[in-house]
Order: sequence, then C-alpha cells, then structure tokens
Amino acid sequence: MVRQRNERGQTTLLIIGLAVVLLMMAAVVTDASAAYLQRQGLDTLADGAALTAADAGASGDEAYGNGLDVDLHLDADVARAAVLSYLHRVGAYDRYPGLSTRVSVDSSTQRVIVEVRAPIHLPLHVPGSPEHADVAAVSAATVGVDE
Amino acid sequence: MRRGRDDRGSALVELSWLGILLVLPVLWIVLSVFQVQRGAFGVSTAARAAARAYVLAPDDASGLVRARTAARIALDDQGVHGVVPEVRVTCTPYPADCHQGSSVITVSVHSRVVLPMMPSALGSNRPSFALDATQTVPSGQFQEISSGTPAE
Repeated sequence: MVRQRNERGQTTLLIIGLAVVLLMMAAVVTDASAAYLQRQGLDTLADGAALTAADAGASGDEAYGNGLDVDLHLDADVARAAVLSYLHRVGAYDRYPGLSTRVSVDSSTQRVIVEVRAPIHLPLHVPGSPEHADVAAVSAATVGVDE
Repeated sequence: MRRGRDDRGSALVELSWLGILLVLPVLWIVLSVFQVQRGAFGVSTAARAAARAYVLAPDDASGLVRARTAARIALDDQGVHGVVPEVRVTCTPYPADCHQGSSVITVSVHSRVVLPMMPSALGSNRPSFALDATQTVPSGQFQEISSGTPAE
C-alpha cells in the first residue's frame, strides 16, 4: 500500500505554533502593562498638578476680590502657571518626552481640571498593534473652605 | 512498494525534544513576565498608597510607619508576598521636616521579584528583577510652616 503523504513534521509545526502564540501573548501582556504603568504615572502627575493648581489658583485676585463661597474662586492663569512649574519641578518632561497638558477652570464648580497626555513607546511590537499611541490622565481639584 | 522508513514513533520523539527545548523555556518566559508584571503593578500601587498615607499623617515619624504599612498592604493585595518593600521619602523645600506648608513630598518604593522556578542548585543568589515606583504629592500652601528655613 502506498502512502501518498508523509506526515513527518506535523507535530513540529503544532509545537512551534504553540510557542509562537505563547510568545505573542507575553508580548501583548508586556505592552499592555507598559501602557497601564504609564497611565498610572500620568495619573500621579495629574493628581499632583491639579492639587498644586487648585492651591496656587486660590491665591490669585479671583480668590480675594470676588467674595467667599463654599469653595475658593480660582484664577485660571495662575493655575496654569502653577501646573507648568510643578511639572518642571518634578522632572515630568524628562520622564515623559512629548508631554502636553491642558488646564481649565470650571467656573460653576470652581474646579481646576488638568489633563496630561504623553506618547508611549511600546516595548515590543506585535502585528496589529498601533504604531503610535498616546496615554492621557485627567484630574480635578478644588479648594474648600472650612466653616 | 515498501517505504524505507516508518513514521511510527516519530511524533513522540519530536514532541519530547521540542517540548523540552522550546515549550518549557517559553512557558518559563511567560510565567516570569506575569510575575514581573504583578510586581510592577504592586509596586506602583504601593507607592500611591504610601504617599497618600504619609501626607495624611500628622508628623514625619508616624508618616513613615504608616507609609511602610500601606506599601506592604498594597503589595500583599497584588499577591507579592514575602518581600519587604523599601520606602524612601524625600521632600522639598524643607528636607528635615516634610509635614510643612508648601512642601512637595516624593515617596519611592523599591522592591524585587524573584523569578519563578529557578533551582537553588544553580547558585545561592536566585535571579530577581528590581522594581521601583515613585509618587509625588504636594501638601499645599494652606498649612502651617512651623520651623526651619527652605533648603536651596
């Protein structure tokens, strides 16, 4: 009886395929945790920047000239300057190259809202993963008045 | 027609050789990646928790105790057991007394993850992966500055 096809190497193919899938899984996990860790780092920056901005913004003209409310009135320009100087002081621009920020003050609630955004360099390239990705974090803070 | 060689048994040989040479190292890499990832998440959470605990404490000494406890709880929560994290605190502009108005407190947590399943026969110091995370918290200007002069 003649065998038409030779089955040598079939198992090799299966095992190599399994190994490739496992390695790709490890690469995806590595990339995902790098992105997650960068988000947590940016969260930290945004939290600190929002606290600093609310703190500094509450000492501008708005806070002293416009009467007292439940929350202190915040000065947007002072808050923005405070965010930039805070980010420089903690070395954020060195740690996250290409970092950009957006600072706004919500006048109805007197909250300062800080968004920081930085591109992430994914450590491993998996087919189908994005070439460029940004990670952003938003944080808000306000200064309350104790009665 | 007779075939010169028989394929019987060759799958078993391929399976055992490739299984040992390829799949086992790959599985070890995957397990190590997961272990390091768990450690990285744990250290990052520990730094956040420790910094928060430190800033909310009334003074530096109790702050450090609380920060260490918070870091250990956070690492335990992520499944990193048996490692004592090293917690370091620095602050500007009053390095001697961190709980002052306008001070910016930086808490960094250092830890290490021991890579899994390395037999101790290969050496006394098992391979491990060092991890660290840093968290910076400003304490705010609406607080008393009790003593000290700002450092340059």
